[in-house]
Amino acid sequence: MNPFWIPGQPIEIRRSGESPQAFRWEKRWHRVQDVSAHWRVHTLWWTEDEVCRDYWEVTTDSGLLSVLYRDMLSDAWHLERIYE
Amino acid sequence: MNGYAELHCHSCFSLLDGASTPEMLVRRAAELGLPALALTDHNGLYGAVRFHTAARERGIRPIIGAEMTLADGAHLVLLAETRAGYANLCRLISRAQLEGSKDNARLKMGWLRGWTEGLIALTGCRQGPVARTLLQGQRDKALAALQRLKTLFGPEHLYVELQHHLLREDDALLADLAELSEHLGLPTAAANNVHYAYREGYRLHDVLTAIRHNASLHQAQKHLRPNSEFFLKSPEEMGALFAAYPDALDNTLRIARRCNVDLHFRAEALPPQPVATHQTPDQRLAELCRAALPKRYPQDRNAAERQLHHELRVIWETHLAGYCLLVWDIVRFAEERGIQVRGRGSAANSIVAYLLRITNVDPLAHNLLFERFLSTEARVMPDIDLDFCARRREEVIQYVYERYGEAHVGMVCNYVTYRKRSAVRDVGKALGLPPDTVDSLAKSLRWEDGLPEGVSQGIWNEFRALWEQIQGLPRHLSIHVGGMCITAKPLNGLVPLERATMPGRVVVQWDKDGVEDAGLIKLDLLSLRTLSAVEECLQLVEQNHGIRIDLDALPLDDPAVYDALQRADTIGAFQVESRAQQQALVKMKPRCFTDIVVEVAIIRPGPLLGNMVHPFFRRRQGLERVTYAHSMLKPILEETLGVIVFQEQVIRVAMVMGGFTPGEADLLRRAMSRHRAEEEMRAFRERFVLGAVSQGVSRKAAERVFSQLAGFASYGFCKSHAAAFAKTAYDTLYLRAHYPAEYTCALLNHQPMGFYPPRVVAGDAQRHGVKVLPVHVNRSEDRCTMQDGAVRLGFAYVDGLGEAAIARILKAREKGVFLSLADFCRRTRLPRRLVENLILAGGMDDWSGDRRRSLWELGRLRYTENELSLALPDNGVRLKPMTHGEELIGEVAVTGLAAEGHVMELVRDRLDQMGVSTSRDLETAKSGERVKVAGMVVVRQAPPTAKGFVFLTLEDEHGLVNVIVRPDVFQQQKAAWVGSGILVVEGRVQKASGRVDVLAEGVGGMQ
Repeated sequence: MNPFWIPGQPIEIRRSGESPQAFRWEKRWHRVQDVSAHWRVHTLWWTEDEVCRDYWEVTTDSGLLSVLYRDMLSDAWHLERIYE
Repeated sequence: MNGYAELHCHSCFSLLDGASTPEMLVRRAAELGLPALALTDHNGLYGAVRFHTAARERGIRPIIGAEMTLADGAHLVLLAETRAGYANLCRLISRAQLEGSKDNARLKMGWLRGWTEGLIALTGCRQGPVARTLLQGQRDKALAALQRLKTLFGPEHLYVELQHHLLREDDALLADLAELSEHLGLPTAAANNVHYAYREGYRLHDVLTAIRHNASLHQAQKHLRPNSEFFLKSPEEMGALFAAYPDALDNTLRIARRCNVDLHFRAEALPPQPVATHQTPDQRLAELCRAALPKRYPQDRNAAERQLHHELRVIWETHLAGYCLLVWDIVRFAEERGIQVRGRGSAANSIVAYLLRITNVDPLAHNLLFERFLSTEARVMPDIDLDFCARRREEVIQYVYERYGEAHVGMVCNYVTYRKRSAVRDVGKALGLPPDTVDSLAKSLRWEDGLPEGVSQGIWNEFRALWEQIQGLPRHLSIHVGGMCITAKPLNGLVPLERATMPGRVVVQWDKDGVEDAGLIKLDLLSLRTLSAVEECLQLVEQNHGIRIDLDALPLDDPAVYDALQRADTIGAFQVESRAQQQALVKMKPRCFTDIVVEVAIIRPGPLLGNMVHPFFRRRQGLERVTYAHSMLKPILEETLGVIVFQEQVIRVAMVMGGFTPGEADLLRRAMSRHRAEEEMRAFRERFVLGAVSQGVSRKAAERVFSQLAGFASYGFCKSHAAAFAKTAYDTLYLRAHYPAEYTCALLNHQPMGFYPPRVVAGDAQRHGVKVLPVHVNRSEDRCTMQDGAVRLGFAYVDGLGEAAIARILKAREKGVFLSLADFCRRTRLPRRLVENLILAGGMDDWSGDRRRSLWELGRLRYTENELSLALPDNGVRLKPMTHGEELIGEVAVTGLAAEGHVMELVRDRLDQMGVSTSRDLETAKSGERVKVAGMVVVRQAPPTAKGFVFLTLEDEHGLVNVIVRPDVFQQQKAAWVGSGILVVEGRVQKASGRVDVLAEGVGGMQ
């Protein structure tokens, strides 16, 4: 596994269209209040570890700044990082 | 306002960067409903003509532009708004290319001052001068850069480019750019910096990037784009990305509406006229032609004068007198310098060309058709190609540059594209395949053997897909062999120029198709080794026989020529020596010049033109009746027995039966040969049928004739081109028949050339009684020479003897002939190996009849290249002298030839014991007889259309044998069939239509 693209923690998600509305982490749902950034990464397609991800940097109603991503290959959402 | 036009787009002509062809991009744009598309390749307009044509065909407005690299490496996009802007763009690109170093074009900002009229600038991508500084956090510098651009271009001609690729910094960057633009009162424009037409192209794009950095994808990661968003997007997708900047989208449409550049230069590009001040080009042309009439037509001149009058009028109407004079001037220069020149192609249809000595085929005598060359409705420039003596073509090219000036002359470029092997190597390396695997794949080009070693299934799938996609994409530019553009206005305002790898040479950024389609004048100045050989032969004949043969005055009915043709005795002759040609010749049995023309036209490499070739030969041999689809066609098709062979015939039929004008008929011919769209052909068909019917032809017959036309037009040959080549073939046959020694000498001095290796040419000459003398240290020159009516091989034929070594020998010999081996070594100091080769070639036979002894003596000389000391004392060793066989083999090894014998002689005794026949024996063998033949492999062909059949030609000391190997027979002993050396073939004789072949049943090799 490429050290730059560590898989995040799989999470459940509720979304509106493409963008996340809420996600479930540590047994509760956190609602997305603001999307501060959205970017897309697609690389390493020539290896077994192709990375194709849609990233979202969001702030939640619980005051968390989080980075989520949607794995475009498996269509699963993951939590990459949380800042308190 | 909805909608958008893409203004920043790269094609594959951003070399090793863009992944899609201009046509693919246009097609995608049409699918997306974009009203306009710009092409902005790096520092060039390479794809502009193709792009322009494709876009116009689809009703999309093409915008011509380029992404320039500035002196500090930043990128700036320039779009041509008007024709004047286009000219400025060309000049700026040319300057950036010519004043930079090769492949490193740089535009200095200062050059823009005063040259921005008609140009619209976009501030570029993240590497643009503004975005780049913003990303570095240098807002002041960004503002200054933008201000500078505004001063140069003005607020009406500068747009701040906004790009959003869903990269992390894009939101912030756009906000900054928008703020800056507002601050300076500049409009914004959205663009996507497209590098591929469809999203899937991102893989090929990454591979190209890796190739560009000469690395694998893994190693090149930091150069790869972070995602796959750089494809041609739909208005909706762009709308979503730029929802916050609606003006930026609208402005793309505004810009598109402003830009209006048409890439057709015909009116402007007429070349400079070499005329005196009191004359027009047409008058000068007429004067030259009339003066030439008596020489070209010494007898009855009426028909010639009528034709000339007609052609001059058409030339006047199409404003092409200047062009004709231009070509005349070049031919005149060549002839004055004694440089052989022949016009070829459709120009030989013209009496003007014949009178001006551009071509040497009389169009009246050979029933040619001017309208195939030029007519008033012709929309393309006429095509004149000139073949020059290969050795001296460079002088002609220099003359053109000097006469018209460097600013007006440019070589046409050629795109070297990815082929199967290069694709394997580059894609394999990029994907990180093991180097050994890449190497073996590149050599074998087979992948049916399953997954190669060290490669996963996933990568293997990628490899195969990318290998397919990359083929045909340009890798780099080179110069087209002889194409030159000559213009009246300076070239750099019409098409950008850049450096070629050859020093001092400047090349235009378009290839020959681009140049033609844009309507520029292009001449092909090609080189033909045959012409050099012919020239040398003429000189030798003059030296040895005191006669200067005037090839122009040669009557075209020499019996020796036709005799040789009918026996297919044509090795060494131009165009008619190949195996395929020889086999056709025995069926054709040419009796007159027209027969040679047909022969040259019909037998060409490539798929056998079954529809044409077979019926023609059947009729020729009386196996089929000569019929005509309609009696109207008889005068036109008589010379080819009712079969349509020539393009000129297609045009004549269209004119005579369909009532087409000459120009329309030529358009029809061209449409047919390009496999045009259904609707277009239907329209032509209707017109033709109507025209025929109005002349009393039945509808059914008319339809049938049109179908025949359509069938032949795609591979019909240009008769004048065939005639021009047939004349050269005739000339070589004539020289070969009447001056075989001189001709052979000339041929041997211009190898490689033609279909056969020197060994076969020499062998054939010897069988015709020409004596070939081996290399001789005292009597040979560097080239082959004539000595007492024999051909003396030159030093150049000895393996390893390069220019320097030969020069040493000749210089040493100036002081006097060499007296012995030791004397030779001492005076030339050549490396031991070269002296050995000279001995083996027979060069020192005069001093010792035994070459082995000479080699041994050489060994005894204490001899280093620059030192020679005393010979060691002879210790009485007795050597077995070299046998004749060993000598022959040694000679062949070292010179490629055996001057005084044939290797096959050595094994003849053994072959006789094995019951093997000679090539001569086959002449009297009966068809169906079982036979064994043997010889050295001269030719081995497995044409793709032959369905696995392999054709071999073997050579023994008496001549050639043609062998046909069935696929199953070939497969059974494949290794033996592809082996080198002497093959012994068992099979049955097949004699049909004058041909003798051996149908092989088995093969064995021989040491």
